[in-house]
Amino acid sequence: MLELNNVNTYYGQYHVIRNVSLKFDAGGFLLIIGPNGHGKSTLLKTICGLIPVASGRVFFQGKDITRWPTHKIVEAGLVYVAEARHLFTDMTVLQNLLLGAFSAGARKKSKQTLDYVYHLFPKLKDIPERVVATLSGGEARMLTIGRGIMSNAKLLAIDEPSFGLAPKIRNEVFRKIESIRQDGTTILLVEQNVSHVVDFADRICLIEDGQISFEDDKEAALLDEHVNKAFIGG
Amino acid sequence: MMEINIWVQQIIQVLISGIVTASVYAIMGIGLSIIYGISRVFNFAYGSFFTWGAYLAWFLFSTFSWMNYPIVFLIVLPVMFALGMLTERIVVRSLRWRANWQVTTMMVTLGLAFFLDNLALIIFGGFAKPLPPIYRGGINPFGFTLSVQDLLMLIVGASVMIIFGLFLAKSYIGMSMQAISQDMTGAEIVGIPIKKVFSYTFGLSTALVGMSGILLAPRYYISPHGGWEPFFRVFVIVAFGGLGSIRGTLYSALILAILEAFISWSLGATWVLPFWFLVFLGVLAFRPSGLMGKWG
Repeated sequence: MLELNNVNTYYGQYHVIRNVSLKFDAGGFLLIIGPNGHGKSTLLKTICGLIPVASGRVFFQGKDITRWPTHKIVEAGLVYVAEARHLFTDMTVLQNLLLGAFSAGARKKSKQTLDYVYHLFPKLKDIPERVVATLSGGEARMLTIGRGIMSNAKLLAIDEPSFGLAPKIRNEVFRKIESIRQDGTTILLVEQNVSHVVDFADRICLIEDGQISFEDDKEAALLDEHVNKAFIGG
Repeated sequence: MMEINIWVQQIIQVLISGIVTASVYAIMGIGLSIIYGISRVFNFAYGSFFTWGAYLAWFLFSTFSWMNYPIVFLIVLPVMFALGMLTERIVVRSLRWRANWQVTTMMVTLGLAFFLDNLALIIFGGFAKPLPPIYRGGINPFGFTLSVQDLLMLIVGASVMIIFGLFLAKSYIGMSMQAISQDMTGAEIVGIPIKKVFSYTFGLSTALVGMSGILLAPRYYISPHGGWEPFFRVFVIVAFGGLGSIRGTLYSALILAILEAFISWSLGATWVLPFWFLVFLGVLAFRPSGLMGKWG
């Protein structure tokens, strides 16, 4: 479904992503782990076209999306759910969800998708007219993910969904993500709270210093001493 | 008793005149405000587009003897929309996101303003041009005089505000404009084609100011540099209301236009701008980002 070939990315002069190659299939749950500031988020942003690829190629469902603008990538079904939320805070919950379905294909199915989002997050169904600035941290996180689903996502690239959440809400968010996967959406997840989410993943990728230092099935990751001890906490 | 009546009548008359002016200021203010709030560009050529909207109307009226205002609007507004989009494509897009692009764009739009003004001078000459009244005659409800032209301006202004409000809240393109002004990265993430919305915004803004140019031309004359004074006023209105805030623009247009009407009535028109600036400075002292505060 998604394939990266020798991708390199820079922030100004700073070489952030170094020769990353990665490949994974539809329906899977890939968990990206690694120390802070080593390029996990940058990798997601690169895939979704928010940061330009300096060299290398990105393929999504067989199409070369390396130079596509973000809105075209979203329309193809690869959707980024940001850690910093990036919600439209002066608008209502419903307006935010509808904007998720901005691209033509998603807009046609928006009624159906909205029902699905409300089914997944019943809390949002009760507060469609609330202004987003007044939401709690948990509600805002649900909305961020719901808005991503509204884009008719085939692959959700979710950046640290547990960031700043209380443990109880955090685990609820993880369970929701797992049920989204079971409903057929491929998940690419960047996370710090690895021990709480590792059960759901089927592949694990470790990024250190902008490079992939480990990538394999979860079982192999749990057996790998470096990965397990330092990052999963097993 | 009689005397009090006359006073009340005069004050209401002044209020009405203020509200009529406010409706045009509000249209112009929205145009200037969205262009900054959404595409982060401060457009110095705004006043020149005001003038050009009026000149295009004048051209239509003087070329076709059967011309009327509805057809003028139907022709000029799309032309202004296209001119605005063209300006964004050619002038702004190539500069965007480069080093100091906001200052550079300001300078370039200032240059564009000089170009457009002098182009008007060459084509239409230095003599001020009149537009026919939108409608002759008046009505006298409850003993007040109200020209039908003022009434029409009021209706047009109010309709534009209402339609624009609905457009922003309900339509996808309107919601996407709000989205960009609130969180540009968020807008990219949900798949909004930002560049396209930037040029629509420029088009819309230019059409709105062209419309105001036509609405105000029957009251004043059209001259090549005549757009600067209204631009200057609308800049104060938009800054007063909080750049990028539609509701703030509406409130400040009402407050400043009514103030303008009262000052011209009591002290004379020359005192309007000094008083505006007093109020403006007063507000900025307490609320540095304007009434509704959305600078930045």
